[in-house]
Amino acid sequence: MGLLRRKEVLFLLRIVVGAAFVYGAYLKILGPQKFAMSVRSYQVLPIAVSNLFAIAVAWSELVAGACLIFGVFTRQAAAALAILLTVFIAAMIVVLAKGIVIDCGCFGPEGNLPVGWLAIVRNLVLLAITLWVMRADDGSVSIRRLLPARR
Amino acid sequence: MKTFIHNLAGGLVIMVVAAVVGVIHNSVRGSSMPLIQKVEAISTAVRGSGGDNAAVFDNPTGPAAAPAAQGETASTTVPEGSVTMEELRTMMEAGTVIIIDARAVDVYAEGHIAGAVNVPFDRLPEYYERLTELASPDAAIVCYCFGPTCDFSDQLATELKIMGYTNVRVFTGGWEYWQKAGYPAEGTKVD
Repeated sequence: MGLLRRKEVLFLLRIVVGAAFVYGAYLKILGPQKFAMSVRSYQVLPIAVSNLFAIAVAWSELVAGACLIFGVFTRQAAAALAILLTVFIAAMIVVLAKGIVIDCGCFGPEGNLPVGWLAIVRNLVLLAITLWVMRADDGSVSIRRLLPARR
Repeated sequence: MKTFIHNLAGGLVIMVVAAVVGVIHNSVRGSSMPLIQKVEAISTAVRGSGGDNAAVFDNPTGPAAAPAAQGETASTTVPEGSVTMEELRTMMEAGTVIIIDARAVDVYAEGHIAGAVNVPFDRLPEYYERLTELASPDAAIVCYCFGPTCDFSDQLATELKIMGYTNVRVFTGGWEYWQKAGYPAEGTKVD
């Protein structure tokens, strides 16, 4: 556990997870219709709210991912990503239970894992990291530290 | 625990702020999406071991090959949004329809309705651009998949309606019935 408390490791984890979400969000924002299609293919939400959900998820990933990288509201950003990951994992389990074979849509329209145990395990790993950042980040590596202290 | 809940609440605030920014971005961008997606979803597949549409497929020559006889229940009529096998064959021979196979690439390659194009439902977003350029908005389009219990064609047809195509239907009998009838087919495993 000592290793995971080290600032450098936490910072690295933040960069990796934050960058993954920012990249995924960028692709989703670039092609919102395609991402909304992915959302509907899960057959979990009513079609009526699929577009709104797609927009909310894509932008939440972008903002929370960027916050995680720059160390702004780091714990809260990690919490937002943990909430998203929990929703994704639950949706994937529902899809698996229904026996639907679809792409996960995690990183835009192409080159995705199919919804399956591999995608769920990947999200569980990301969830563990976000929960750890929520617990252990002390704000010592953040863009705020680069700004002049307020009196 | 208190800190954990506090952080979760903060996370929710970030998500709400981000969603508002996203909604504003959507409203000012060129091809915005409606926030509430209104569409009449197509649902023709037979659910479970039977369901309302099951009787349509009792006819060994294909689903609803003949019009419903007097006194038959509503469940023996063609489900709304679907096309019968005979109708589809007539349209195909007249060249007045675009047929889309919603199954995966490998099963499509093995055998499909003659002239059908493949838009695998498991990779649908990849085909978004191709679907937007598929045909004029009022072109007749018929989707199909494995057979009566497969709903990929329903999902695909609904997506096409969302994209603005107005004349989209489903051949619910799918490849199973078409093949049984010995109607024109193509592919590596078609005799």
